[in-house]
Amino acid sequence: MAEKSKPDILPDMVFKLSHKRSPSEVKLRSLEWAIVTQLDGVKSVGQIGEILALSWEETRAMFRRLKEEGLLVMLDASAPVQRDIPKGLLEKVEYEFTLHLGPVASVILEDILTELKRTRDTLEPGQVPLLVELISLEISHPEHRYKFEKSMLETIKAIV
Amino acid sequence: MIEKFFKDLTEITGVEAVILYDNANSVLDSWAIPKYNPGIFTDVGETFLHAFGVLEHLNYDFGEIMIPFDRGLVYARSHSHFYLVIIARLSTPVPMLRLAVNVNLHDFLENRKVQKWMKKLSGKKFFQIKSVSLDDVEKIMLENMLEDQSNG
Repeated sequence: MAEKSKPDILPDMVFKLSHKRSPSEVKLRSLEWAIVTQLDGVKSVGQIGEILALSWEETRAMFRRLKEEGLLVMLDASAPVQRDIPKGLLEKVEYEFTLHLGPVASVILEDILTELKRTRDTLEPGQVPLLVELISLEISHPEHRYKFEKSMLETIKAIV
Repeated sequence: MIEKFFKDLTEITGVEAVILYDNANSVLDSWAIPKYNPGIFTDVGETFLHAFGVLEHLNYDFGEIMIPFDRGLVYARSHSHFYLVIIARLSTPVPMLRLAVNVNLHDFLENRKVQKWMKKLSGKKFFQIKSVSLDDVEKIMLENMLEDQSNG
């Protein structure tokens, strides 16, 4: 009977770069480099795969290789990680978005949070710039988009 | 110029250098944390002049390039008359850099003095590559490529 193999990489796992080995010591492909740039100790394997538009099989294979090369350190799930965004931040984002896009803004904001596999309660500070970027792409008028981005830059600069 | 118009960018945690180049790869202004020797900026910019120059020549719609390396990332944004290069730590979110560049670049381009000053700058990148950085063999190769293209 074949031994049931233990899954080595799971979508919810969170990694950061190891200090023991530099990525420059390993010959990495461009997508593996792209994964390295996304490792912030906050985003999960699944989220990184989604951001880079990779299939789960591709994501797992590349994370497996990076892990085998000794480039990754898995974070202890019980370790305290700053996951809360400042109170009122999302409300401010939503207010500004509505100001520049109109009443449909709330629906689009929820859609984008769903795309990121997050809710208002589970969004992490490191994901706010990406959320703002995706939201701003929905504003087609260049001047409105600029005003929204300017306002958001002031708001989120302190938390990133 | 950088500290006046791109202050938001320099204030992002993890941003280590911001360099503004003209299309001849001259550093127009730079800001960096002390560990950087400004002497390296010309070499850094040359890579992006090549990349953006070729993209311009091929009419490709690529306004930005991001390249990660072992200790950080380089984010470059092209404008017809200049290009901006940012060196940051790997932990710096690229959407945050893009957001700051979008806003700061808009303010920069809206400034009347900048608009006047930009009139003096060349609006082409590709044909500057040859004069800036190619050796004789590369120049001949480039000329052959252009000849083939015009004949074809």
